[in-house]
Amino acid sequence: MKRVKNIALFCLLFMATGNIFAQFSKVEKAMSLYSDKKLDSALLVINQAVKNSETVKDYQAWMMRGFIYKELYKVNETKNVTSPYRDSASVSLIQSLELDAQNQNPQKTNTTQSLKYLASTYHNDINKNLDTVYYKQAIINSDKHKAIMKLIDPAFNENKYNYDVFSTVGSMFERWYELTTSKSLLDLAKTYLLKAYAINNNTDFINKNLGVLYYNQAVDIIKKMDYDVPLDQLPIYQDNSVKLGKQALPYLLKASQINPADKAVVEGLAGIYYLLNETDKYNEYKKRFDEMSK
Amino acid sequence: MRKLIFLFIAFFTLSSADVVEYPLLAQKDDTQAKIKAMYIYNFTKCFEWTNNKDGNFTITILGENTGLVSELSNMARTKMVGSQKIEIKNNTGGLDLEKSNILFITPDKSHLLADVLSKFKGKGVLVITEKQGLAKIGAAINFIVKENKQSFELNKTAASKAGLNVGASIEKLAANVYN
Repeated sequence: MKRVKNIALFCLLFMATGNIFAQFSKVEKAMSLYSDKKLDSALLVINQAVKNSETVKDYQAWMMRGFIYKELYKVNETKNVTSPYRDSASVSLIQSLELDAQNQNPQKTNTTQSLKYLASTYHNDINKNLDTVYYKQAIINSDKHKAIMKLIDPAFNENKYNYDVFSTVGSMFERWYELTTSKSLLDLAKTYLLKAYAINNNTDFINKNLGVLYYNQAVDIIKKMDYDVPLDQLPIYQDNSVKLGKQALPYLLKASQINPADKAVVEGLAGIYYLLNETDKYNEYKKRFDEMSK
Repeated sequence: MRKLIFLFIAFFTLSSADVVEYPLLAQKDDTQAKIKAMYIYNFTKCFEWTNNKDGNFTITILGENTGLVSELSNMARTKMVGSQKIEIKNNTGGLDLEKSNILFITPDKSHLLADVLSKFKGKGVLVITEKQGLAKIGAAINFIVKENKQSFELNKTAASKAGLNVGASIEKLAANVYN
């Protein structure tokens, strides 16, 4: 609310000195309409202004365009995760910042804060698309969040953000794979979890997820076998299961190293050693798990 | 060992990603028991029972192995041996055993092997054990672990003494064969 007042005040000041900026009449008019909350009319005028050769490189024109689109977004499209108004607002405000190379815009703080607001909405919308159908939109929105934050926040940690996005999307697919056993979901789970792992392999979260993913696949092979599988085929199925169990092992061992108190990891390790027929180690982790469960 | 199903979702908020864990489902999946049950079902096709063809085809587990009993019971619901229904029995006590087609002796009851062999000699009972060295001393089949996998040893003489004909295919697939 305070920000809106600041912007309105700025618009009035701008209009008061309108004679200095006579050539910018369309920008002034758009500002006036914006102040009067006539957003649709303001939009028509400002879009003419940013196409005009005199104002196409005017940071104030782009800023105004950004403010108008932002308000239109807030009024009409906050529930639309692909909101064109929000995209136009972001593009316009970024353009305004880039055109203000000399750092002369007295409203730069408002521009930055508006961008920060838009970035936060992209970020918050990720959750709304965290499913197997619309996940690509979640990633698109995370990319838009990233693009803005990199511009306005020097402390923004892009790697950490990517890790969070990939591990979240990967674990979502992991969940759905467990519920459906769909091969394509499994592949997507692996893809995103391994992307997160490539960024940071020192978290119990990523190691635990990858370990459980491989372990559950190993169990699934055995679980799905029909009793009619002939004797000469049994070792082949077992080979595949053991191979996956061995793939799971280093991840869960590392997760256990990072967080020895994680009961689920200890249980997972007991499960892997059981699968691998390593009785001594199975007993060791089973005992540890039982003690943790008391 | 049960299959682990966890859900780790990092819910996004404006300021941070908070990790939330949901154990969704805990389902019993005893992988070793499943493999053993499949081996045992295959053994019903690899040996020929010259007698014991009347009534149900009985598989008895001597000792405690709830996972295996459960798997074999699952199997018995859908499979048959020839025209015989499969019946699963579990004896956790001693030697008060009824005659079976297959008798699986758990490792903790391995000390009863000699008595079992004596009791069922020539009566068409396939004795299966699961302890190092027992194929050499009279078990027709002994489960072993080889390269992290369940495998088995075959004692042909023991099978013959039990009154069973041994199929040719099983010999090729055994990790060790004793005559």
